[in-house]
Amino acid sequence: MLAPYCEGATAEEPVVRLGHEAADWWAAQGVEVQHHGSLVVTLARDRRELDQFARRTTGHRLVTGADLAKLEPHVADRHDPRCGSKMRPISTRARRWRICARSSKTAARGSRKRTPHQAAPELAP
Amino acid sequence: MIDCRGLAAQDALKDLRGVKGEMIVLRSRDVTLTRPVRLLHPRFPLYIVPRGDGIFMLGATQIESGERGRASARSVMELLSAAYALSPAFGEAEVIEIGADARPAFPDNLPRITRKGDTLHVNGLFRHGFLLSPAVARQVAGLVLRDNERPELYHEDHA
Repeated sequence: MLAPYCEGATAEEPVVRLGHEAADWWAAQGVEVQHHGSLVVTLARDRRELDQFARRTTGHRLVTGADLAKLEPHVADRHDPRCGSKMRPISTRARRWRICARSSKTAARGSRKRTPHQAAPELAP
Repeated sequence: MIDCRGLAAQDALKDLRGVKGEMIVLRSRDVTLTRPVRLLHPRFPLYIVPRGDGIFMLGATQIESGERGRASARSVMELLSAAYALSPAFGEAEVIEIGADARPAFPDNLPRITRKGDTLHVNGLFRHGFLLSPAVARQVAGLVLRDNERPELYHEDHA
């Protein structure tokens, strides 16, 4: 996974800028590189996390229920299709765009652990 | 000489520290994803990378520890809980691998190219190994070939 836009939420500016070289470089070495973007979701109760993520990053757009169902049906099953309609769409960047989505309260029931933790994206071609 | 030993170079790079990451690989025929999915959460963000053929990688924790090779029960539980929240079908998935290791990082979590004598130390790619290695390698090559004596990631060593 190469996700320079997403990394911008927590990483310093050079990581995003220099990271944009990576996909083309790996492709030039014969590595199969697919450009599908990332889907970014949050549990409904953590909606502010999604807004904060959107402010810190670029190249994303909001995905509403119908769009989400087309992109990732298995994720859309867990999302309230009404959630997105109240949120203002965010601009899209072509090719390596990212998508913001919002999950339903149904999804929230599955995760009860509250220990402080940070995710660390590993990157693999 | 170009020293790219990662965390093993702590003997030469005093500021280098380890940041532990734990990950899980699952196999599920019941879930299909066509792109990585990140789950944001104030206490527990997570991403799931589809690798094809029903293989999914869940990652990854980020713990200030140089410890390698020991995934904690809490981390495994939290990774799996978040995957389950994303799709309950992950509850039926087969656990293929539980991995843990430490990433090499400098205090600002940015890579550094440092010259000490005849050695160029290239390190600190943190969790951005595949993302930043092309740019870092390009800058090291520029330094070695004398095309660019002061690349962006060059770090003056005052130790």
